[in-house]
Amino acid sequence: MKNRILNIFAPLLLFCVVACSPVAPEKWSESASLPQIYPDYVNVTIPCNIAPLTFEINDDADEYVTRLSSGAVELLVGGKIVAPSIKKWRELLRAATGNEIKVEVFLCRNDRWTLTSPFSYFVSSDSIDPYISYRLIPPSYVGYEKLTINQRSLADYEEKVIYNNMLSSIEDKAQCINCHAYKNYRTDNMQFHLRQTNGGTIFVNDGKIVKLNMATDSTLSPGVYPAFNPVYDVVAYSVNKTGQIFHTRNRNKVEVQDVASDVIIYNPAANVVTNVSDSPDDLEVFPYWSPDGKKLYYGSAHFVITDTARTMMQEEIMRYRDIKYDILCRSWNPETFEFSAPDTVFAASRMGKSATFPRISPDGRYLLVALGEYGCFHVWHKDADLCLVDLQTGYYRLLDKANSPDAESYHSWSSNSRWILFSSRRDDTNYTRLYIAHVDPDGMDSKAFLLPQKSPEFYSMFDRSYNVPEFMVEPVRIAPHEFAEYAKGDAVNVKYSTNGM
Amino acid sequence: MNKNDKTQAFAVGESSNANFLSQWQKYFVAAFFVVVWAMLAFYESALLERIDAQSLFLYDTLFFKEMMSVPAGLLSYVGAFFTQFLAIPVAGATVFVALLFALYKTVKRVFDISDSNSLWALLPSVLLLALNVQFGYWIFYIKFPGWYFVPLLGTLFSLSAIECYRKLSWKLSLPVILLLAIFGYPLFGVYALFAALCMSVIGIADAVKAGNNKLLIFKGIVPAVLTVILSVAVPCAWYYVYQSVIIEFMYTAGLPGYSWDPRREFTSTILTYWLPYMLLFVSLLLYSALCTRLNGEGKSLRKTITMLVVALLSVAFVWFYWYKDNNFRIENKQNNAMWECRWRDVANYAKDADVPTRTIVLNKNIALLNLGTAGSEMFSYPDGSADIDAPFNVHLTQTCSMMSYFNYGKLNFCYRWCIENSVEYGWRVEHLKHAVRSLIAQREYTLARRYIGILKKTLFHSGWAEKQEKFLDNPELTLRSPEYVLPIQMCCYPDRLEVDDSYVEVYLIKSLTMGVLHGATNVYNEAVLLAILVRKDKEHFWEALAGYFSGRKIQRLPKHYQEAVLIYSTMNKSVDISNIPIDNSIRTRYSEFLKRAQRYKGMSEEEMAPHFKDFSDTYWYFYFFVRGIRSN
Repeated sequence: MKNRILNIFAPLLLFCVVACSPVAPEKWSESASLPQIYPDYVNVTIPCNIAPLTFEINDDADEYVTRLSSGAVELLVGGKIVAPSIKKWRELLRAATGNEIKVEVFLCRNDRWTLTSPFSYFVSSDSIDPYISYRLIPPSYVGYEKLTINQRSLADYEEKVIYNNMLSSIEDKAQCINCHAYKNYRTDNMQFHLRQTNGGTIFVNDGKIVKLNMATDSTLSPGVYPAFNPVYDVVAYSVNKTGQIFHTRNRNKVEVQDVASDVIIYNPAANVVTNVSDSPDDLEVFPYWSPDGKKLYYGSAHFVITDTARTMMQEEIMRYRDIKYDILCRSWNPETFEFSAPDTVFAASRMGKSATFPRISPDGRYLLVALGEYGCFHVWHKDADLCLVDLQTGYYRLLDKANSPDAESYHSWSSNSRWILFSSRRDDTNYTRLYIAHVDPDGMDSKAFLLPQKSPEFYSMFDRSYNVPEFMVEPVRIAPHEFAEYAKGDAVNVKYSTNGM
Repeated sequence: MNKNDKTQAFAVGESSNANFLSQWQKYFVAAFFVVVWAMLAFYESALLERIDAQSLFLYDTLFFKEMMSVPAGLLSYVGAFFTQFLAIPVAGATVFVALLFALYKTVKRVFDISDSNSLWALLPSVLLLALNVQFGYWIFYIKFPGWYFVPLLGTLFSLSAIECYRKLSWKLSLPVILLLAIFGYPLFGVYALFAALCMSVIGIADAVKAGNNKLLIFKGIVPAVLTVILSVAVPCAWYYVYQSVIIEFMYTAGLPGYSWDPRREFTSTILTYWLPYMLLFVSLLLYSALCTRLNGEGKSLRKTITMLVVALLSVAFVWFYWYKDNNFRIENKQNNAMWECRWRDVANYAKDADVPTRTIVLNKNIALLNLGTAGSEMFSYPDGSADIDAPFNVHLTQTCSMMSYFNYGKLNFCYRWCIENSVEYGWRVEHLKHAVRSLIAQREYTLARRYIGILKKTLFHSGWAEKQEKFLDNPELTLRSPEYVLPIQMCCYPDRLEVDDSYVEVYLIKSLTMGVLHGATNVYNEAVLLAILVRKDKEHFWEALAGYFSGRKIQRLPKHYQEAVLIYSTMNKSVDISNIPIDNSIRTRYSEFLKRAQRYKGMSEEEMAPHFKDFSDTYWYFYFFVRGIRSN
């Protein structure tokens, strides 16, 4: 009986497998034009350990076959959606590392096949960190509802929630979450903030969770934008009083502005915070440590009220285009906790520009900033681009291949300094998506590619923006519900100290 | 007639009475559903369309996954699926009433209710109808997708599960309850747990009826104890699987998301919104306990009276719960007409209000601006700021901000509120459509195309999306489109940084009256003048009037502007109005107005107002007697 069933179904199964397997056409004509694909992965440089790049072919045709090949290894995918299996993709990546994958898209119209102009994926031998994390947030202005901080494996498509604010939010007792950060790409020292109801900072110190209340009488606000010192056990924060105001016509839609901001550092061992820079005429923001942990970089804008009848907010509304941030740096003595006077590392304001979000490559060579015409919150500025400053030579250049006409911002370096991850609004001008670009040892960038998803149609329906992307070398292992217990609990008050100890 | 004959005759009589009892109940039930259908499909058609606009169902896997990411996700998904049919009120009402009828039949079948008792089976349908017709302004604030159909579908699911359970051997009681609670909960939320509860009640009732102690233990008491334990443990266990809800939500999964605000009085929250729910659950539990005892024939007179009382109470209950606020109906009718650019209808609907809400007034003003008759009509409609008939705060930001901002050319603000509202309440058809229009009007085509792409995945709004897509391919068409003419012409001001502080009308008036713009369009200048008139701003009136005159060839100044010229020139004698043509009829009427004002001198404005009703179509009436307008 069994054999009879097998006899009947085996040929059918074989037929199905053969019928479903794409076959490359034997004859075709060639077209000089590239296929229209989304996402645009044409001639991008990719790491040797990335998940399959899936894309959708937007050319009209009756049938589609795509051939991905490198040397003797070949992979055929049929249909409009090109989504190679992970197993075959990895074989292909192995064969193409340090070389390229050739992508040929065949279109069949009226029984005649056309080969569109082939393109390549250049497979870098520089690997990429295995995980990234980001906040998923609707591109909202004031309101918020569902927010999550997620982690994603880059070798495949697996995504997990690190924390979801709905685990501790309810209607009028809502809780906003933001600003996740890690020490040295590892997750046993990390943090994120909770705002409004049960506000505080969830701080993980060597794997132990604590909820902190970082508000003190001597600082402007609780810690906001964090930066773990990669070597020493301190965290720098900016403290900000931030407001939002809306453009009536400008496509940038909104200006997010600080009316006051300073930089502080937090010493977890002593549970104290200390002001680093609190000049009332300067707006300081986005601190970041050098790889040796002995220099603190941050953005700083000198901005004073010209008419004393106005409040700072009114002044900023009138002169928002005059707010220009430079990148400053202070040396830090980890033994005495003393900071030197600031040096200007990148004087963007002299060029009539504003540079924020300084990020130093882990090899210490490059400073990457978001550069726009004015202001600090470049995620809302369409003119914002990534700009690379060589800390050895002082030369800077815009990352022309990685940038787009829309806003680029919130960048981070991979732990080997060869990849940058950043958010960009280039796809639809509103929803930030994550792009990855290769930067070689000489600081030359390559065309950025969109974070691949299992389905290339994902982004067209996904209604949240990717925010504050960070590389990680390991996943966060603490469960969301464990964080939730702390999120709902009381916070430990942080004290203020003038000497950091 | 012997004794047997008498018994037979009595039996025949009883049978014919029972038939009569069954028959009129059948007719009553039929009439009930027909009337409900007609009321929903026609009387409440604007409301149904609005409810659909506050919902979204997409034929898309990501949408399905998002819906399934919370407990009761399947129920919500199916509810959202049915809600889309409300876009065509006749279809939506048909689906809803058909499901209500299915519920009635299911209750009758599950609890074995005889024809002569059939009105008992109608009660759950009555309660669910009452639940649905009471919402009013809640439609803007409920965050639970598919809420309109979810209670009905959830109850139907519970009853279907009970029906299956009753057909099984009692030995399967425990596994069925266990499986239902554990695996039914993520799909159907509390309805699965409720079904399990009903099953254990039925088990007890059956066992008691049979007088079997073993049965009582294994079909009744043990399942009941298990159900209670599962009702606590299952949501708690699933809490650790779902990563998107607080633990409290787990115990109300599948129920609508209106919260009980303890600051509000009892009647406006518990009674109004939750009572039908409570009665529904109690009635079904009672039916479970009385299982099969509602199938008897009983004494017909007593039963007839009982059934009549049930029928009357059912009608009264639904009528009591039916949200009958006239202003809300007008707002919905206006809104639907505005999407279809039926501007005259929008204005006419405003006449039906005794004291209108600010939404009605704003909508009417937009309609008149579109019609080009604001200057001659705007103050001849009822005006005021009626309180919103809702036991919670209703803000224009949720009800009409997007429509108002779009039409006044505040396109960024329109888009902003699309986003803010979609963030808080989830994307809805109305948000998407406003987003598309605001982006097309300011030529942000890439983003508009994204939202059009989403709308194209709906069943009833894809046609609208395709029409909008034509504007992307041929932008000049917007200049001739009745929906885009006003916003594009109104969007002629320079960029500024502003905030509305969530006060839509106040911001619009403030923004328009910031100063006359040079080079502004005629309609913008007119909107400025109208805003000045609304503000009763005598200082800036003449400047605004000059702005109105610039760039126009005016043969006859519209009526209200003539009225305003007279009143403001009376207040400021230094202004020379000899060059402004004023109709004799208006001058004469103004003289009458002044004379009457002299006659009632010394009275307060409130006391005077009734004596000036015949002037209620004038700006003078608005200026003196329409006071204390509150806009939120």
